[in-house]
Amino acid sequence: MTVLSVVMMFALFILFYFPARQERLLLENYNNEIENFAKTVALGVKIAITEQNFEGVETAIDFVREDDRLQFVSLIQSDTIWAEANDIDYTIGKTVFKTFPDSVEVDTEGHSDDNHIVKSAAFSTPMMSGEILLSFSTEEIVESKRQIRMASLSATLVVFVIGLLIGFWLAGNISKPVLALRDAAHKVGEGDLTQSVSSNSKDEVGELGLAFNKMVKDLSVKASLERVRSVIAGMRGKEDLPQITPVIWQELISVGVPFNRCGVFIIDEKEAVIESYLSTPDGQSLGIFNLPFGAHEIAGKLVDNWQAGKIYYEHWNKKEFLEWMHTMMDLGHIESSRTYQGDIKPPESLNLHFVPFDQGMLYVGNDEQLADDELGLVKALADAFAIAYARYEDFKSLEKAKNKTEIALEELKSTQTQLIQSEKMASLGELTAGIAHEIQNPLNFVNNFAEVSVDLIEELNEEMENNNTEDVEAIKEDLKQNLIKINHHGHRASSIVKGMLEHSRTDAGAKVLTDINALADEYLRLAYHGLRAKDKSFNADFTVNTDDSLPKINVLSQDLGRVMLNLINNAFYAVAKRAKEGIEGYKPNVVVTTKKLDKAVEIRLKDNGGGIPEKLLEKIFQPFFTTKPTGEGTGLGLSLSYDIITKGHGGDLKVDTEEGVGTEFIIVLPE
Amino acid sequence: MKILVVDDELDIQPLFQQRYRKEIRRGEMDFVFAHSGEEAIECLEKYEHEAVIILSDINMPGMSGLELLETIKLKYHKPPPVVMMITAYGDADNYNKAMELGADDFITKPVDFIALKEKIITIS
Amino acid sequence: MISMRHKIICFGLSLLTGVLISSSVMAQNNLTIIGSLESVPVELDMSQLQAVLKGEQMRWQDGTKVKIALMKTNTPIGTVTSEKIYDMSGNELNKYFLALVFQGKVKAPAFFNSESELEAYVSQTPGAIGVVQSTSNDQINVVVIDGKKQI
Repeated sequence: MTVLSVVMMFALFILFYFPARQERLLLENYNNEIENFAKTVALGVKIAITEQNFEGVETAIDFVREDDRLQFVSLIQSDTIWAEANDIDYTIGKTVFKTFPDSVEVDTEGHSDDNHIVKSAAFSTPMMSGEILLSFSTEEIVESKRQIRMASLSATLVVFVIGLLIGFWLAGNISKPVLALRDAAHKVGEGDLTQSVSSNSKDEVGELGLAFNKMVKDLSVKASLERVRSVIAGMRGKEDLPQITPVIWQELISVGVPFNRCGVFIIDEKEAVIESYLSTPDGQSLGIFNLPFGAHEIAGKLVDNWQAGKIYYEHWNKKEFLEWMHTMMDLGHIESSRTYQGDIKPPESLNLHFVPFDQGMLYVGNDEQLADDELGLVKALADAFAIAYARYEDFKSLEKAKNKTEIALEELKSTQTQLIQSEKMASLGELTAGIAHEIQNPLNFVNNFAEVSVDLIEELNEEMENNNTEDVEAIKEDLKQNLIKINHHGHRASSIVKGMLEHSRTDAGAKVLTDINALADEYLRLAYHGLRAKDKSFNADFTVNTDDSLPKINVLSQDLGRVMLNLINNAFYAVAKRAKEGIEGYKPNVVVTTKKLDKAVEIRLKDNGGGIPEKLLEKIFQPFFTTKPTGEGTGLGLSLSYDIITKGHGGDLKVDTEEGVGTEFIIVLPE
Repeated sequence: MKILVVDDELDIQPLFQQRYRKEIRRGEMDFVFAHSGEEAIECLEKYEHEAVIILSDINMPGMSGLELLETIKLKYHKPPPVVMMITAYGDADNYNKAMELGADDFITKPVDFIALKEKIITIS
Repeated sequence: MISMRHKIICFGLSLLTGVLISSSVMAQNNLTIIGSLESVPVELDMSQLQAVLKGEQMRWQDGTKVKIALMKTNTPIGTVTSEKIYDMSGNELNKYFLALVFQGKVKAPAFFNSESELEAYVSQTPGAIGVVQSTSNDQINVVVIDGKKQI
């Protein structure tokens, strides 16, 4: 198309511009010629007049006359006509002096028209002044023009034809290969990287073809590498590594590297062993074994070259191959020669290429030796494989770390359980003293009243013998009362025991409807007595304000009891500590208040101890945090309590405190 | 002579009253019961000029028995009442403390009522 | 003091000069027509002469072209020639021949500064006819006009 348009342009140029120019030139020349003639004649006239030498003018006139193109030659005389009135104003009068040929009517102004060119040349002598008018026909010019046009038309045609021929030739030599290139490029753009164009011609088009083919090849290699990388990036665990190796071989095949045996050799310097994984290109395993560095000389060579980062090449004939294979079989690394050979017969000639990567060598074996560019492709894929292997090793160490962490976590959990248990035991220990006392009292009463009752029976017998009916009745009443009291105190003791048993249970138990007031009361007493048992000087006022309208709610009573025990203990501890400060008029006081809320139960535990400093407030619920001296508390109490209330019962545990005034713990439990 | 029994356990009263019914009937013993240290002090106010034996528990809410002991020994001189501690906590600490504060005797629960009677009679 | 002798001499000279001048003047009024030895007849009458000199007759009998030779009109002979033969002034004569040249038929006369040049031309040019005052050249013929050697 371009050629055609160029040719067209050229042709048009020739067709129009050239002739036009020629014509113009022609015309110009013609004009000049005519003018020159006129001037010559004029000069001749001048000389003739001034010197009476007519030779010049004769020659000129003859010359002009003989010219076919002459229309006329005329001598115009100009006369100055002075105005009659004065001698200043004048006009120039022009008259025809003589014309050749005679018959022609001459316009003295000398205007040219379409068919004739009139040129004038002036002359001036004392005797006469005027001009020579020379008129030539343009016929010849027209004819010349026509001739030029014809010539240019034929030239155009010739040029056109030549142009077409060139065009076709170019089409053949440039357009066709370029279009072929375009089509190939199109297909490459769509993803077909197997395209190539012929690149035979030794010119630039051929160069382009070569460059294109190289580009497609490079793209194909890049695409291969991308595929490998994306598969590697998809690795999620160490078990994904065996999927990578077949991909490597696949891509090598797709970029056109020839090979019939391949493998991965991981060099373990620590264990001085080469982990070898041999296979066929389609993934069939040929052999897997660990080759110690000293087992065969090739091992040493591999290690040396790998350390130097160099490609190692070796050639084996059938004998050498068999020698190697038998060495391996002797060492017990491979079992079946059939499997290892990959075929019934061993290879006649094997070229071994080992390409280094970070962790070892990538092996490709082929009947023919591989070219440098093919080895370059293997290197690119080996480097990609190095990434995969590195990821594999990362996964392995990650797994190890994970296992270690899991073990550590298990240990931690069991330690935690133990700690909780010991906390429970610790609080149980605290309980025991209190419980002992708590049980002791009712038991004392049981015993005492029983003893007294025995005495009373004796007295009764006496009175009965004496028939003192009044006394008998009185004694009988007393006995009855005593038995009731015995019953009462017995129950007291057994419920305390039951409570203690529940407290020591480690299993979760089910939530039961519990009277919170009773629970609070019981644990308050337990705590109080427990503390008193520990610290003889301990004494504090405690009050229980119960809301009688408090509904029973579903709680894990032993857990809740533990919470109350913990909080009450803390409260007593706080007031006892403050009491020791010896402040005048200080009365340690602990108040437990229960209150019914809308769909919830509130338990407030208030003490007038020293309060909790603000900077410690956020820490008190943390596990192992305690302000008690070492050995006096595990510090788990509040954190456990918090968990029991919030996680176990869906409730809330808040603290309200003011230093120097006291502390109030508020438990809210939903119904 | 009045015997003031101070114990927060209410059932102490019927126990003593039954155990010593004969003695009470015979007028050998005259018991007054207080259920807290504070109540005991009030009683003492009432019977200030009478000889009083005070049998007090140690573990009581509010004013403990030992505090009561201390108060009595400090405040009441004429006549100085006899104060005997009756308590479940029979450990050395409690004993020493009580003795320090001037307790006249230290009895552990469960009460041996016969021995107690002996002691009372001895004093009175 | 101008002597008598001086006066006489001056008078005599001036008289001589006058005579010479007038004689020359008188003498100049005479023209002689000359022609080349070939082609040009030795006798012509005045009307013929005028026809030839005016360019009306362009060839001699033998076909040779008439070539006119005249003295330039700014010479005395030339002046007389143009007046006597053509009855025109020098300017008018020029214009006349100029017009004829434009026609292309007539060859314009050759104008000369001196008689000797004219004569030489005539003697060398067959068919040449010239107008001089007098001649003694034997290379040329004197053309008798109306029976007279001089006009």
